[in-house]
Amino acid sequence: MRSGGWTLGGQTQAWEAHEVPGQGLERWARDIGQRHGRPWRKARADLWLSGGLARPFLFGPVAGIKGWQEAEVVAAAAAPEWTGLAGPCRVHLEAWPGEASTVCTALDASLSDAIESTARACRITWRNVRPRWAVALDAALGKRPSTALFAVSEEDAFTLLCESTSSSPASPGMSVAATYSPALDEAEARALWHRMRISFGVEDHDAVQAHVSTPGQGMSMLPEPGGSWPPATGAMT
Amino acid sequence: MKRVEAQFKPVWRPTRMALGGLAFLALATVVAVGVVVWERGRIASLQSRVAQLTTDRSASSTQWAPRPAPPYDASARQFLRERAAGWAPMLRTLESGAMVGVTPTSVDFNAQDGVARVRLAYVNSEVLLDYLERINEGVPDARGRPRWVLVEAHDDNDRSPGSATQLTEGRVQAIATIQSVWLAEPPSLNR
Repeated sequence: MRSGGWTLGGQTQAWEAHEVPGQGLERWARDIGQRHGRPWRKARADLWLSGGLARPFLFGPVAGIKGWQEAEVVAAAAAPEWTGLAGPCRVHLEAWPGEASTVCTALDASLSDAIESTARACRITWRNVRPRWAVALDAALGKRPSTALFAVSEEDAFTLLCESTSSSPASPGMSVAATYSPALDEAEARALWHRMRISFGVEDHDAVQAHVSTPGQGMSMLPEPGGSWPPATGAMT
Repeated sequence: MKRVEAQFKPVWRPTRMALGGLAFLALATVVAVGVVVWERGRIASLQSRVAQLTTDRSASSTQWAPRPAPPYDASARQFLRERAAGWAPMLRTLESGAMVGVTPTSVDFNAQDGVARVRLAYVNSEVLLDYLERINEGVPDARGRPRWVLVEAHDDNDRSPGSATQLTEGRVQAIATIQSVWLAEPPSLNR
């Protein structure tokens, strides 16, 4: 079960889970077209992906890489092993992986192609195609810039990002970036959370966990109807 | 912790139709520029050609040599002058004024200067004057004066041998000469 959602005009319109992501994408595109209602103009929408679809991992450092294209090819080749995604992947590197490790997000290549072809066929311009945990991290950093440990619990994945507070300020970087899919149960998630806090010396006020409720109830689910997404994050110790 | 972008927004790529449109626009631009350049070159060539022709024309008009007269020029002019001479009106006046007592014996017409000389044999001066008056009726010259004038007349009493008086059919006749001018404008040789 994979989930995703879309927003139109800055407001969340739907968040649904589908066994096959392509089917969900087709339904979302159809809904966007109906909601947009202006065939002479392309709809501009945001597409959010769950942690089960877009999974982060730490990549590098890799010596001898000559360019971004080559780095992406290497990262895409390593992504299935590191993330557990089955097929070929598309990746997004946050920084140059030549000297230090960096966060890399992997997305199934067939889903990436489907997103692009659907947009072309249904006259949709994607303003953003991002994982939901990345948007939740933006919100968390907005509220608490010193966040060092961040976790998002979704219906299909548990995503964990941790930055070691003991690392040198001259070379700050992510220490852990991983997605557990299917999602961990409550006890496993809590144990992992505590282990990370202790291992990397993260204070309570720098640890943030966001919980996204189970999908399936349409607009009544998070994000709330008419509100920007994600609307709420909660600290869990 | 830093923000994670993780942006998978599809990169815009031009569609085949857009590429075709751009290619068509580029081709149309190239063709239009080519046509303009070619047309300007053609106009410049024509202008230089016109300027050259104008220069040649002005140069040739100033350097034209006078056309030499053809070898038949004098003969042709004389022929035309004789043809244009007033033969017919001169003879018509003589015929219209015929009368008893005056007999034209010879007509000498010089077409070069248009002068006609007629020798007359007459019986007396009165008849000769009447004859002159008759042939001058209706044919004045350009200044309104009588065309035929008496140039020479011999007295009736002159009977000496070799004189102008002659014996004709038993009658003694005097000889007189009258003269008139019948100039006409010769036709031009130049067309």
